[in-house]
Amino acid sequence: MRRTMLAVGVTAAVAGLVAPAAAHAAPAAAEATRTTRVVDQVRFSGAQVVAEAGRDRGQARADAAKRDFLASQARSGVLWDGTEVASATLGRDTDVAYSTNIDLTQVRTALVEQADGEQSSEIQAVGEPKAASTSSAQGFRAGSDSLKNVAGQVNGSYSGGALTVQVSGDKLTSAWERYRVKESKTDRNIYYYGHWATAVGKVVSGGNDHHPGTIDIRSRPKVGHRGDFLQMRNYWPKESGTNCDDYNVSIGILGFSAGLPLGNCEGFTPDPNASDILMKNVWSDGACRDSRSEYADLGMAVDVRTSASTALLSDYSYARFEEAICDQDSGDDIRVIYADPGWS
Amino acid sequence: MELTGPRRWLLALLAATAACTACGAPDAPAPVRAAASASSTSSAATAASAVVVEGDPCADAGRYGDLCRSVEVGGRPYRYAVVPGTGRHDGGLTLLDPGGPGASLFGSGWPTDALDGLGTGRSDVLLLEEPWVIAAYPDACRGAVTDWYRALRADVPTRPVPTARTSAVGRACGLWSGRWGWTPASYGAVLDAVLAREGRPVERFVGFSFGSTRLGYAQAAGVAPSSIALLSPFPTGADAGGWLAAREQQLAGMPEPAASVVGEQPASRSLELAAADLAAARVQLQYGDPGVLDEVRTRRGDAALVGQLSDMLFGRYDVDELSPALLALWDETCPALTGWPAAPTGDRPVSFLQEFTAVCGAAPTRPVVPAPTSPPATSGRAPGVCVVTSPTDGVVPRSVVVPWARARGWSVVLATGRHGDPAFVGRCPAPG
Repeated sequence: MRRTMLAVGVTAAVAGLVAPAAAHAAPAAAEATRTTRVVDQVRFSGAQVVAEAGRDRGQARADAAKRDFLASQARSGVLWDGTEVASATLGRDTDVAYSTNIDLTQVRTALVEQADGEQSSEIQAVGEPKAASTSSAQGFRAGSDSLKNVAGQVNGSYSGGALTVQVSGDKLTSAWERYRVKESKTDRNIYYYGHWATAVGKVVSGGNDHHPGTIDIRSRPKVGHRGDFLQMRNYWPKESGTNCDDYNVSIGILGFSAGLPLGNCEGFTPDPNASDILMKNVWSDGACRDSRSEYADLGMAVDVRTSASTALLSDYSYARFEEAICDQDSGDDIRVIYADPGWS
Repeated sequence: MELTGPRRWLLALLAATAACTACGAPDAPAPVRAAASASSTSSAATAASAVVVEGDPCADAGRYGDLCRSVEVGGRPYRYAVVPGTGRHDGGLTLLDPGGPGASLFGSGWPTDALDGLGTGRSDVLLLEEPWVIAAYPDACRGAVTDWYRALRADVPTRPVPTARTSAVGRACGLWSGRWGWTPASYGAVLDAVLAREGRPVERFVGFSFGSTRLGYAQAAGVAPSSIALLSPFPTGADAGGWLAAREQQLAGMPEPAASVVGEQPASRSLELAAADLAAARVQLQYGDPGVLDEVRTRRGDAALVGQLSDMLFGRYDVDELSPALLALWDETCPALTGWPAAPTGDRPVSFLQEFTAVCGAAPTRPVVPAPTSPPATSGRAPGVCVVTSPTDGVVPRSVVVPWARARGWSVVLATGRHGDPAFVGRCPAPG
């Protein structure tokens, strides 16, 4: 996803600090409801974020968020032109920066207090790639922190995007990428679609840094586009643990091959749903967190009708941050997060 | 885009394209004992003490965070990775250098293909991150680089960039102090600290492209791997003038974007295309894989593509900000070659390559870089260095690699493949 190649869009919606029960409205949230309450919540539609971004242009805090995003991406080897990135400030403490090839759907953040008084924060993002590439420079992959060693793609078919939501020092970054597979079929086009997210907790003095407890990422057809998809041909990762102990999962789709850099091999729960063309992967560190940053990844191969312009998927990204490294109540909370709330 | 071995963007290894005339020449700098004298280490570390990471240096390592570790040397954190091997986990380490300078180890520079090239049964692999990735980028430095970039785009190829603009970059950014790229001293000190922490020696060195220069740093610090593979190696110590001339010759074979794109402003690009962008795009193509070359041949008049290639070479982002990866490139490749021109030649039109590298000649002094040497003989086994290159390598031509290697007593294996092809590792005997 480099600026030069970027891409088309993903709709990204970010929601932060949402109480698990309230944010996900999960049917099986009884235990969490019993033990948590929402202290503060911010919810913005994509249109509101875009409007805020327009109003905030030139404002110091929003400009700083954009500069941070651009510089951070450049340090990863990903180059964006300034016209391809927007930023907005939402409320007192939420900053959003995103590549404009993403249609933001929703941004939501919440601060949750548990029964024992411990607080956790949540950031959630939903969005999808825009229907078409907006730049002829897209499609050319010169540098990216995503797939490696890619072969067998249609030249110029690469596209990708990214967004960052930061709430009081907790940060969720979500990114996507898409390639069209080179093949000879006449009744369909085949795509690889990847989506990943990193969560970095706030630095707090005295060894009280925030720690991600859960990262939940999902991708599925954009609302109204399910009919474009013929099948989910494959998905990655298959399972956590030993299958990714070399930190690289091989992707093979007909003649397309690549390496998926699976940086965190433990704690994943991949959950594909072929009938809905839905791929979900949840990372959880269980009851105790040991790192200030964590990560989750998913990939899927999809067949799309030739009448569709591309594989238009929507991404949902969620991260929960905890103040305490170990929390006896967190198990209940995490189960709630697994519930599929829908994100359109 | 394939540059130095592993996939990497941009300038990585600009220097590696060297087609020098003095490779292996007697006047190549002799190896120096760079290891971690307290004074050199601390001065380098002091200059490089400002970083952008807060708290745990690995917190921003993204998807490879689980593999990231860090050491502190001279008050400054350095990041590295130990990738679990597929063989033994209790023996010596393989030090893999994927090339560069300018590679973001935990981002686009993660050497998946190079790791794959090591094959099954590999030992645990050590990777060091170049300092620039987490180095603070002070406003004065960033401004000097942007001013230089603006001047180059405005002036080249009509006239050279004013010397004051060029020399200001070195001054404002503290080049050759270990802030952006490695110095022999900073590399040696950090490697020492890493090996002490891991409690294991380096038994094997695999260096793609500019990795050959890092081998010299490691050896100067007393690290002595018994097995060495240099794949498409950069000819450390070569003559810069010969390298520039050879690259100019190579450029003649590159596809040429249509001049009509000058003045166009592609969508999603903040800048119009300048004549310098055309020249930059052609230089970038020297690192390009065949797919990119085909794109340019069929899209000669595509302004967006030309702009993209130019931006990759410079590392441009936002409007006219340049990535500190470019500083890393200058920081290490300038000292790795000798005889940089001190001033523009006066030729017209001005050479883009000379202007792009003029910061090297503008510096008053640069450190001497040690060249790699053979490993020590061990009982019953002849020491050796396995050098592999491709006869069609356009980045470091065979005509450069072969004499450079032979001057050190190393034979060269010719193999079909691209520059830094990971499969080249398989052409070297497995250690053991």
